Amino acid sequence: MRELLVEYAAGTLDPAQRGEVEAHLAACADCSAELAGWAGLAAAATREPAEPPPGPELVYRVMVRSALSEPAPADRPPTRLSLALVVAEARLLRLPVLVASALVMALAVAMVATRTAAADGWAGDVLAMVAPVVAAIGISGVYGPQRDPAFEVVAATPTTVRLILLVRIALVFGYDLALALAASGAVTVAGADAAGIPALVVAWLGPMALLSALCVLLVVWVGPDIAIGVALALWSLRVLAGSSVFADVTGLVDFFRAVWSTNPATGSATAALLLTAVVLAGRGEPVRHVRATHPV
Amino acid sequence: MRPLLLWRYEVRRAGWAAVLAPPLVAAIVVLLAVVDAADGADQRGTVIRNLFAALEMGLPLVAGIGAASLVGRDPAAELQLTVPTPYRATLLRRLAVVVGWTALVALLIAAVLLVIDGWADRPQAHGAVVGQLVWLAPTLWLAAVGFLAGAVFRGPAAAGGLVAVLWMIEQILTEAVQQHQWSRLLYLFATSQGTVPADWTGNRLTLVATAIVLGIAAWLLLGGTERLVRGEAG
Repeated sequence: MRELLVEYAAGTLDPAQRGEVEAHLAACADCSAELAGWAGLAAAATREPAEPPPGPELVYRVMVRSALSEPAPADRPPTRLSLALVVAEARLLRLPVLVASALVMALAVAMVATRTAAADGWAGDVLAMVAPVVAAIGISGVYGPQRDPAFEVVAATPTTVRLILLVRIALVFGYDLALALAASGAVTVAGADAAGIPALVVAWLGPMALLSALCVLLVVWVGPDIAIGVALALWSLRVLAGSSVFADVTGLVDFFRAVWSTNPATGSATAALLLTAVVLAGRGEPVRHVRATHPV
Repeated sequence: MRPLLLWRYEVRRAGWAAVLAPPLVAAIVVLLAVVDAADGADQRGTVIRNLFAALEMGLPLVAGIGAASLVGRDPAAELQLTVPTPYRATLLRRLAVVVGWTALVALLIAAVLLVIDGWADRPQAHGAVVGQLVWLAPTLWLAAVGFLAGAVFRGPAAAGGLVAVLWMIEQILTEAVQQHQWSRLLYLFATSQGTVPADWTGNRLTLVATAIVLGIAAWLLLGGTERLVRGEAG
């Protein structure tokens, strides 16, 4: 009987059922009480509202107020570096890239450690060839709409793009620096190089910083694919210049050794490239080269 | 679409970098010979040495990185997956464009070497006919590695990086590679950097055979279209 109460309150039952319900209501206090509730609801639903609900004029007022009022000020200065920012950016680093970097460095250590009767400085040469390219490829993925799915959202937040770029560079380069230091320590402990850790660090630090800074600039300027391409091309030439094929091209070998070494000139060039990249980073997004076809 | 139009489209899609890289590499290596000759070195000998280096070292690296960049940088990948032609067939055609253009430049350099009698100057290159394996074997091997790495990582950065690191390791480990038969068979620079003379033909054929195996693995992996639209690994 209870299932008929809603229709009885709405007045949609046929006369026979209506009679049955009324007979039951006369003897059942529970159903009478429930019917009172349904009847109140039906009356409210059919009653005309005293005034129409807020409509277009409310939307209009909200839009006018939104257009005329200033946005709420940020809770903190937008350029402030915080631990929370560093932790948040660290979570965005790609695990496969970190693992691949560690594996390549481990391979370099294994190459050096298993080599018997190597010439003096060979361990430094190997680390100086491997560490820069590992850092350059890692650092090429830190910035830009092609690699960062939230790039446009990040660009709209109070935290500046420059600060985010610097934090990411520090994280990736710091990780690769730690890997290269660990590799130098492992090579020294294994007795593969008598020169000691400081000499090994001097062999790879300058080239690693210079190639990474060049990649940062190219990533900000033209995007990651071209940055990686240029880094690989330059480094292949560096490796070729050190191979036996070009051993007698002394001018070329000397030139490459001077450019890819740790000295004040390469340090200054690194700082200049990095500074230029940070300045460019605040001036918009990288040039978009991605298209379905390329005119030839 | 008519076949010729299709291939023209693929050449256009490859872009300036892919078209310019092989001749640019050859030009840089020849320029090095000119710089070297200015130091008083034997100019003809240096040019021949550098042209062989371009054939065996430079062009294969370009082909490998070009092949590695085929997967993961296609803005129309999802559209490609909706057309009747399997996407891996399209990728294979693009691989053919990359390797084919590199091969054309390599044949041009080989012709120059023939004109200046360079093949006779380098007996370890086995003459102008069999000697085409000087560039063909490492080019196919690095291109297959790049293609497979692209299929695995679904991004040009990691795949190109792997090709470059392998190339560099083989450059650095020249002496260590010569100590074992298996590593001599997989050595990319057996003509320029030297190997046991009896191993040269076996080395070239091993590289070609493993390139075919790697290419088949890449073909099978690229059949999983769901993986391709998932974006770069990681």
